Formats: sequence, structure tokens, C-alpha cells
Amino acid sequence: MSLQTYGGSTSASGAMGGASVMPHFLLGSFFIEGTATRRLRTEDWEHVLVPLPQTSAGRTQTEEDEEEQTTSSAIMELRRLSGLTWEQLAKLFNVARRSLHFWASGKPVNAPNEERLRRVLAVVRKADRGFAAKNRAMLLEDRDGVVPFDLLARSEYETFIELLGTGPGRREVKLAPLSPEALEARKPRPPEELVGALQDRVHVEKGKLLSATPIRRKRQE
Amino acid sequence: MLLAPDSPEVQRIDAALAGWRQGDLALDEHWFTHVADATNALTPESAHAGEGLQAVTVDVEGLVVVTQSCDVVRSCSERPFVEVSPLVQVPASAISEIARGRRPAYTIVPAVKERALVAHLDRVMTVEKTVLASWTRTAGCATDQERRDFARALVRKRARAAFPDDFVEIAANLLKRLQSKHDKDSDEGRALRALREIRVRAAPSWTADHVEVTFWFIPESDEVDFEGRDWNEYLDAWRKLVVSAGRFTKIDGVVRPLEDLTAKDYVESDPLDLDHLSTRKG
Repeated sequence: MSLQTYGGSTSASGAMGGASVMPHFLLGSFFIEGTATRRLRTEDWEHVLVPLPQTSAGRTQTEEDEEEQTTSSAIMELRRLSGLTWEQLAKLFNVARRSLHFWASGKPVNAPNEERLRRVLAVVRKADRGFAAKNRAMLLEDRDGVVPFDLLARSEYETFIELLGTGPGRREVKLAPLSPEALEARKPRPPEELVGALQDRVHVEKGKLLSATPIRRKRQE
Repeated sequence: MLLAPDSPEVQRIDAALAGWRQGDLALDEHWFTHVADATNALTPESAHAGEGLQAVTVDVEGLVVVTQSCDVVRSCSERPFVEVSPLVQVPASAISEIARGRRPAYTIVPAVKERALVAHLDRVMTVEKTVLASWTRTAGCATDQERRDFARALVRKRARAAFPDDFVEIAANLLKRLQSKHDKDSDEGRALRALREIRVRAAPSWTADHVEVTFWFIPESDEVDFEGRDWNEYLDAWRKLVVSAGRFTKIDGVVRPLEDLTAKDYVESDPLDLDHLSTRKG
């Protein structure tokens, strides 16, 4: 995509431009709570065109993404949703922090841990207070001698939900991907270029003086 | 006379500059030179400069170093230049606007803020380090925070995102609302002041024929439970001010503290700079 192909103007005198192919569209807007997608109240948002990329199987990418959340993305979602540190999550699953990093990097997880992760994520999604900070407080708050975090650590999921109920959840937006060109334009310079900046002068001044005028530096009182 | 790199004079200049930092002041230097076409003058000073191209030296309140500190202290034999901007007097009433970034052509220099002197960033003059070494240095910033604020103003001056004009048109009502309500002693005013940043994401790109825009309203981390109110009350009101039109086929927005925003979300978005709106006519 070329910056010159778009004819519109910018505050920088039209430096942005480009074209894209019209994808399939669906009328409506969506919120997502957890993995469940539901239609918005129409009074909340106006109807808009939401492009839904099609997969080779003819289903939307959204449907496939929801079905195929990896263990890696599940642990990352739990971390983001819960607001807990890696240390706290390791304590929750009774594993070493290093193990969690392995999970997050896509290494295999044994079946019992996989199941626990999914269950913990499901109930935290259900109780979601909308912000990580609120969820962290919710999980660690002592409620008459019961700490929700401890319930999760003991796999007492039903008690957890009975205690905390269903939270308001959070407004999610379905983000269309950025174009490869836009992603490339936002990439920072690689670290090796930044640490290896050269500061010496490599050009040679022509050395030809065109004009010089004495500068009167003193203020005229 | 051209100084040799290993000369004592070069060493003396390097030593003199060792204490200079970005944001430092030369308060005894009341001159600034720029180039003007005096035949078609744009400033009162250059109108009196004769005809044709002229190096015009004007009276200013002092000079401030805008070159990055590491480059200031590099040896003058390798890097002989530094850049300075003039200090100018502004009305006291403008100081708070400048301090809050409402006037990106200027920035506060803390050491002279009380005198209502500010750096005028539209003008930059290059001087050789020999010249800087002859000046009396006054520290412009006292703390790391002040130095960061000064540097950030320089970055913003030259690197703020240029949004497409048609986006600015559809966002104009939101921007006007944010500007008009920000200082008000109202629930909405306090909510706006509790925001750390507003960012905007355009997919697949700002230049595409069909663009989906997402606003990220990012509250300060300790403002998640803003006065016990639901952030979405404000979000809905702000969101309704932006209506999809033209290339912008979908507009959305959510409130996300930094903790809830992914790094990917952050780097794929641009800070919403209100300055752009104020420069538009009509």
C-alpha cells in the first residue's frame, strides 16, 4: 500500500494514502464477554459495518478463534483479566513461575493443569468486574474469612461463583487487523541498530564560505 | 583558524561543555539569528532588514539549548554544532496553557517560568560549540521529571501524529467536547482529568478506503473506580459524538487502564493530540 495512493489530506499536507479490498460485511456491533459474543443494545451503539474475514471452511475467523484458544493465549488472558502477578498465578496453580512462562510460550501443558487453567479462566471471566485492578482486589479480598483466590487454588469453582456472582464483564471491541504496511510502519528500529549508533562525522564539508555577517550581540538600550 | 582535534583549545571547549544539558539557558545572550526574505517580510524585524535574503538578528530574552544532552557533550571536534531556541516573554495567563501542552510551539523552562519566559520552539539556531562554551550556563531544569517534560515537548513539537483531515472532521465534536469540559468542575470534567491518555487505532490503516476506528480511553491506574461511577456512562456520551462517515465505516471505543490494554493494542494506536483541532479554521 502506497502512501501516495490515497487522495485525502492530512495535517501534514496529505502524507497518508492507500487502498483496501472491501471484505464481507455484517450489519451490527458486538460486545464480547469472555468467549460469548452477544449483540449490543442498539441504543448503545449505532449500526456499523463489521467486516468478518472468512476462513477456508467458510466460517468466520471469529468462530474459529473462539473455539481454538491456545493454552498460551488462555494463560495470557488469565493474567490480564485477573491482574495477578506471575508469582501469584504460579501459587494459584501450585507450579513454579518458570512453568507458567513455559505455558505462555506455547510449551505443552499436562492435562490436569490444562483443565484447571480452563476452569479458572472460565470462572474469572464470569466474575469479571471489568478491570484487572478490580478483579485483583476481588480475588484477594478477605470475605468473612474466605479469600476467593484460595477457593480457586483449591479448585472450588462453584463456591467461588456463589461467593462472587456474575460480574458486569467488560466491553470488548473486535479489532480488525492492521495491514502489513501499517504494522511495518510502526515497527521500531531493531535493538542492534539502536545500540550500535555511530556518532562520528562521515561527511566532508565543502569548506566554501558563501557569506558571513558579523552579529551585533549587544542589546540596544 | 581551524582547531586541530587534539588541540588544547578543543579540550578546553569540551571541558566547558561537559556541564551543559538540554534545557540549559544562556540568559546573558539576547540575540537570535534567522534567515528572512526581507523583500517579502513575515516579521516586523525582517521588514527593516533591507531586501532579499538576509541573516536577521533579533533581540530575545535569552537562549535555551535544545540539542540532546549526549550530543552536547560529545567532543566538538566530531560534533561541532548545538541547537538553541530563543526565550520569549509571554503573558502570565499563557503559562498554564503552555505548561499543559496546549501550545506546542512553546514549552516551559522551569528555571524562568516565574518570569513568564518560555522557549519558542518554532525557531532553532545552530551555533558552533565554541560559541556555547563562551556563554554563562544557567540550569533550566532541576529534576529528572523537568528534564523529561522539556524533552517530551521537543518530541511532540516535531513528531506528533498527523491525522487525516477527514478523520479530524468526524472526530471534531468529540475533541471540542473534551476541550470544553476538561477544566470544568463537573463529573465529566473530573472524569476527563482522570484520563491519562486517549489513543486511537485505525484498521487496516489510516490510508485505507474503509477504516475501522477504535478509541482507547486510558484512565490513570488509580482511577479505575472513578468516584464510584461507571466509566461506561462517560464513554457512551463521548462515543456518540463520533459518527461513522466516508471512509470511516466503524467507530468504537472502550475504557482500558494500561493494565488491561495489551502492548499490541498500545503500539498499534496513536495518541490523540488535541492540538490539531485548534489549528483548524472554521
